[in-house]
Amino acid sequence: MKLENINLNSIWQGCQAYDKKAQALLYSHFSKKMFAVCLRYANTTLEAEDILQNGFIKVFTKHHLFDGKGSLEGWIKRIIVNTAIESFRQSKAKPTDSIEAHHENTIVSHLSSDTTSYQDLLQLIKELPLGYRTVFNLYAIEGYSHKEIAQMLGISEGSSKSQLSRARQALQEKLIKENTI
Amino acid sequence: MESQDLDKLFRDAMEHAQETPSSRVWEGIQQELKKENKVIPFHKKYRAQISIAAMFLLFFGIGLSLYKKPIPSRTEKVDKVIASIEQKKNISDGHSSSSKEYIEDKIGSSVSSKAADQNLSVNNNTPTLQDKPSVKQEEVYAAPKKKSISHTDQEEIQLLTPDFELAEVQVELEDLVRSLHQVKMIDPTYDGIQPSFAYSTPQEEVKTSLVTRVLNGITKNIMSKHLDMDEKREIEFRNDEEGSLSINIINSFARK
Repeated sequence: MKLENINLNSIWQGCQAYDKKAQALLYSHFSKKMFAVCLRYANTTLEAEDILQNGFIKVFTKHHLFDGKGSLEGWIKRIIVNTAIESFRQSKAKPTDSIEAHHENTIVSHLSSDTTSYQDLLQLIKELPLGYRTVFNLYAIEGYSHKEIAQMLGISEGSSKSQLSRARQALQEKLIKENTI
Repeated sequence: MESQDLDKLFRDAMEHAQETPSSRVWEGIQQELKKENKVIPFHKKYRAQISIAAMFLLFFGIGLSLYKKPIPSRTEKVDKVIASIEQKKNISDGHSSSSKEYIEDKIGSSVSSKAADQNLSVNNNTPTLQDKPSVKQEEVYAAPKKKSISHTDQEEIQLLTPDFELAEVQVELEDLVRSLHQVKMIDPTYDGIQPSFAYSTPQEEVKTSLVTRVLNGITKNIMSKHLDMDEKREIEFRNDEEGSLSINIINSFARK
């Protein structure tokens, strides 16, 4: 792990100097993990790829905003999540039907983690309506507080809390359904 | 299921999740970065090299300024000239004083009579002044005589540089005349001497250091190849006392 850290340091320094090789290495190191994050937030795979692309462009062009404190991975993830939220804010005007979202989802992936649970659970998340999905992702998986979520999404804290509880409800029901089938 | 357990279930599943994006994503990123990377990279990429080069230049500049010969100021040069004169004086005391005496005999009579007249006028007007000028006169006139007795051998030397001695003497006599008008006893000032001395430096002096010499050499080479010129100072680099570099190109314009 230590070796990885040292390598990462030099890779990041290369990125700060706009070294193409370093940029390619950074992308290859983080892209898969970050793409999984994107898939949780996006309605479609295409949208997820857009989020990933825009996110990494920000990472490379606004590298100076990383102060070196905390992990680089955490910083990159925050950028990806913020980019994902942008598409939420944009698509807030168009409410998406959960059924439609379900049909559009086609995930082609090579998983390293436990296939069954991960795929199933991911599927459940994607079936949630946009608002529920976003709040659930931010609270339950990313670990933001309701106050932070309210700020990020431009909603009230109360709205964040209610959307979270509804998201949990829906997920529980689906889990029960799946287990019983 | 508790809410927290539900959250944990999903969180654990997603923590190490990885999905492979299509290659078009990286292609899109590269394209966008190409636009950004045009001007910026040089300054940032080679920051280390640039900073090292800058350091070298800085040290080089400091070293140059330190190794440059100190250029004496005008007053220092005057002092040098005076010192050399005095040295010469001390060396050739005999013949100079004898020549003084010689010239004094010829011109001195008129001067002394003049001085005497002045003395008289001074005496009439201000009794206090009388003593000083006359005393000085006697002193000065007395001094050469003393010296001439001891160094008669050096009389021959006077033939070699008669002009020099003549000039020197003339000015001194003028100073003496001047001193008669003055209350305080002052040594003859050498302000007026510099232009008339053979040993004085040319009026327009070019101060140079290693850098300016090199630059002047280069410009001379370039100019001589392109133009037929007799003058050296078409384009000239100079230093001043503080070491700053200046370039004079007025001459090159004036020609045409």
